[in-house]
Order: sequence, then structure tokens, then C-alpha cells
Amino acid sequence: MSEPLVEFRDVTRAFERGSVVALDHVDLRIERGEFVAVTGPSGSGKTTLLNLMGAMDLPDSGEILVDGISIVDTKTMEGVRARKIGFVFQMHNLIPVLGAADNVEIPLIPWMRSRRERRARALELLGQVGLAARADTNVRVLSGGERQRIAIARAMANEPPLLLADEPTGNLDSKTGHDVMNVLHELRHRTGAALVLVTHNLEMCEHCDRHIALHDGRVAS
Amino acid sequence: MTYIWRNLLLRKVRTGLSMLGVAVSVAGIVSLISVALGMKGSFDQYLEESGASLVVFSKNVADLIFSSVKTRDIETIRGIDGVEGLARTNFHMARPPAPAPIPLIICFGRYPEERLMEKYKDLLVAGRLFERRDEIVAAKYIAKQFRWKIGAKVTLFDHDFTVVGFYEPDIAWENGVLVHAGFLAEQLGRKDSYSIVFVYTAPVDRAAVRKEVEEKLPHLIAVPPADLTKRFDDQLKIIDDFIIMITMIALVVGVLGVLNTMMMSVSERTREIGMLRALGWSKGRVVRTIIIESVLLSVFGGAFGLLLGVLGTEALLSAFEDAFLVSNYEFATFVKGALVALVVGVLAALYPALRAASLKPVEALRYE
Repeated sequence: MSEPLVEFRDVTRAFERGSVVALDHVDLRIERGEFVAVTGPSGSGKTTLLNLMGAMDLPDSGEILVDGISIVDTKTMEGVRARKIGFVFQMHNLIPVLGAADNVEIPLIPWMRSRRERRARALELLGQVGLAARADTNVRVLSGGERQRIAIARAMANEPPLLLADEPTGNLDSKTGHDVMNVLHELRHRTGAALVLVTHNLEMCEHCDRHIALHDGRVAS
Repeated sequence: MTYIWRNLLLRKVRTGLSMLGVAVSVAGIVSLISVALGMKGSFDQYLEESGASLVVFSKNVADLIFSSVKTRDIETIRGIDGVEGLARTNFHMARPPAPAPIPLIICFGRYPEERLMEKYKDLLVAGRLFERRDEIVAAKYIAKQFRWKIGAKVTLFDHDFTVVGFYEPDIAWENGVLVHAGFLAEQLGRKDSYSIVFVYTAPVDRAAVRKEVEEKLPHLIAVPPADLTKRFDDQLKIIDDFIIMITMIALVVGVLGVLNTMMMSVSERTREIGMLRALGWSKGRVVRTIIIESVLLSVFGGAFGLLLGVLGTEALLSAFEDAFLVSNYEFATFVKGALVALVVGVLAALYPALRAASLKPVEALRYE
């Protein structure tokens, strides 16, 4: 069996001095290139799972490995976030003072010193999401769908092996949502990245390889 | 850099006001230092214009105004080989009869036959130099203020004088009146002594004359004019201390202004900073970004402050003409102003930058 991309080993995360257990002794594996949908009611631990998987939080107990790296401290968290993970948030979280290409360049700044190379990479990605013509447009004037496509381009900038998407179509109408999902799948197929999608929308899970349902901080199925 | 620029330009009014705060602080420093240097420089110029080889005054006085060179000492100096001439001087302040446009008039005591009067021949713009005790020569500025004409009768120290000439000094604080030194000595109650004695020698004799003056009259000191201000470094240090104090106040004011802006900026961008951290920006990069933003704000404010310092000083000097202040802009002054701006930028950014870097991305992204 090959090494999984993500591995949770008996992971527990609790809040409010342990009184609220968000994840309770969870074990799971995400394989390379896999599309996994995570569903569950509010408070089931979906966001906590995504935060831990995205190296934005540390577990209280257990171990998390991403691409073979054990996430144990701030330094490993920063490194994993920068090179192994691409985030697509529900609220796109683009920087409003910047243009589309500038936003896509942001994750490249720590690694790619040449501004010209960064710009070329950003333009390439914007072309892949169909927004090459909007490269210099300030993101404030773009539609919700366009912004989310820019957020996808930004998430793919460093060619991470793992894409984490938290309700990426939650603020979009169904047609725009489908378009955005198509773009997301197209890009990840191109790079072979795994996708972990947190969603309430079961329709979005149709094409997933695996479906993880969470309930009270445990994997229900 | 694009991100930093756009953040600064996004809130133009706030950025502008913060820059103005730094600018005013830097302008204040430039102004103070330039005026202090101007005063020091004009004193040096005054001494040099005397054309004297040595300046003789009391050894243990904190200020030249308290110096007393007795008539017998002057006769001793006059007898030293190599001494070609002497000029005795004293100073006093006259209160003109009310109503007066200027409360006090500086009176420079001179003897008409002594060499120190030579320079006023070049500065004379009307009339002639005085020849008698009841004549005075007024600076053009003073004459204009009091509407004195040549031949006007004026009263100073309860004595009547005739204004016989006007001069236009190239040192601001020489805007006063030239009065007979003998008369002034009587007014000062020191008939047989003067504040400073200028000694004229051939250049080759200067060192020997200096040595002999100090040997024969150990209670006096003789220095070349150019070295005189160095003798009063302690007094000038008070000005330096004052400048340091004002600089510290300006620094604190500047830091508080920029700190406030940066705190607000970081607070408004909590979610954004969380996103940057989520996308792989290290704590160090976030700190650097915020510090650069603050330094840019301060440096541009500082640059404006340097310009404002020069323009403001000149405007104030011309508005308060009768304060007889002058300015002297040295390159080092501008470097000091720019350094203050830089320090303001770095200090003001430290706390907001560290606060931003300490934000956990997961919490920052939840921030509304």
C-alpha cells in the first residue's frame, strides 16, 4: 500500500477547556489524487477537520501527517500550508485592494523571487480558469463566480498535492456553483491534486471517490 | 510591494494625516536645529568680521556678558610686542520710551577711532558713523521700526542722542544701535572695564602675543575668533540638550500617530492577515510587510517634513523679524530628520506587526 497523502492517527481536538469535543479519536486517510467529500450537520466537526488537515490548527492528541510530514509545531504548519495545501474558502477571501493577478501571486511571493515569473504563473492560472482578460481588474468589481475562480487559481498557484475547499459554492447560485466546481475539477485533474470538499450540498458529492460523513466529531461512514 | 502601496493608498485621508503627523515632528526638529546652528554661525561670523587676531575676555565667566577686561589690563596688552591695535567693546540693552514697536534695543559699545568700526563703513547705507558720545548709528531695521530719520533726536538711557547714520548688518542680531563705548561703560557702572577686547596683530605674531597675554594676565584668556565658540561649548550644550529633548518629544508624537494608524490598519485586516498566513506566509513575512508599510508612511511623511521644516522656519523667521533669529541648513540636519522618520516607522510598526504575526490563521479567518 502506497503512503497516503493525508493521515489522521487517533486525532482528538476539543475546545473550551475540553468540554466541547470537535473531533473524537478520528482515524482517516486521503489518497493522492482522491476526491473526498466531507459532510455532516453543523457542529459535527467538519471545519475542525479541515483546519487540522490544512495545518491551521494542532490536535490535542494523535498525529496528523500530510505528504509524510508530521504536523507538530508552527514551523511545520507554515511549511505544509505553503507547499502542500491549497485553500478555497466559502468567502473567497481575496484581497480587495489588489487586482486578480496580484491575488493569485500572493502564495508565490515567499517562494518565487522573480516578479516576472510570478506574473507569468498567475496569468497562466487565470487563463486556466477563463479569466486571463481580467488579470488587472480589481477583484472588488468582479462577480461572485469570478472571484471564486480567482480563489481557485490562487489555491493552485504552488501546485499543491492537496486542495481543501470549504463550501466553495455556498455563496453562489446553482449554475455559477456548478461552473466553479467544474473549474475546480478541471484544474485538479490537470495537476493530480487530491480534493477534500466540505459541503452541505449532497449534489456536490455525486462525483466524489469517497464520502466521509461526520457526526459528533466522529466518522459516521 | 503592490500590496503595501495599495493598502496605504486605500485610506488616503488616514495615511495622509499620519504622514502629516510625522512631517510636523520632523519639521520641528529641522527647524530647531537650523535656528540653533544659525545662531551659532552668526556669532562665529560676527567674530570673524571683526578682523581681529585674538579675542580677549575674562577666564572664568560662563557668559561673555559677565566678562570684565580692566583698563590696566588693556594697557598691558597694548604694550606687548606685536600688538598693532586694540578695540574695546561692551553691550547693553536700552528700553526705548513707550510706546515702542520693539521693547528692547541692543546697544553695541564701540570707540569711533578703533579698528572695529572699520567694518561698519562697508555696512553704512545712509549718513555717517558717529564721532561723539551724543551720536548713534542705528541699524536700518531699527530706524524703520522707530521711523527715525538722519538727524533725529532720540532718547536712550535718559540721554539725548542724534541719529547720524544707518547701517545694514549681515548678521541678524546686530540689528541694534552703535553707541560710544565710553558712554555705555558708564551706563553699565563699569567705567574702567570692557566685555571683550579685540587684539590686532600680524599673523606671524599671533601665537606669541596670545602666549604673552595669558602669561602676564592669567585671569584673562586670549583665543583666535574662530575658537571662541568652542570655549562656550558647555553653554551650547544646553541648546543641544534642548534639541535632544524636543527630538524625543517629536519621536513619541510621531510614533503614537503612526502606531494608531498601523493598529487600525492591522485590526481592519485581521481576516486578510489570517488568509495570508493560511496561504503560507510566515510570521516573519507578515512582520516585515507591516514594518515596510509603516516605514514607507514615515519616510514619505519625513521627506515632506524636511521640506516643511525649511519652508516653515523661513516663514516663521520672516514673521518674527524682530527676534533676530537666523537659520543655517546643514546636510547633517536633514539626515537627522530622515533618521527620526525612519525610527518612527520601525518603532510604530513593531507592536502591530507582532500582534498581526501572533494571530492564529484559523481564528483570524473567523474574525468579522
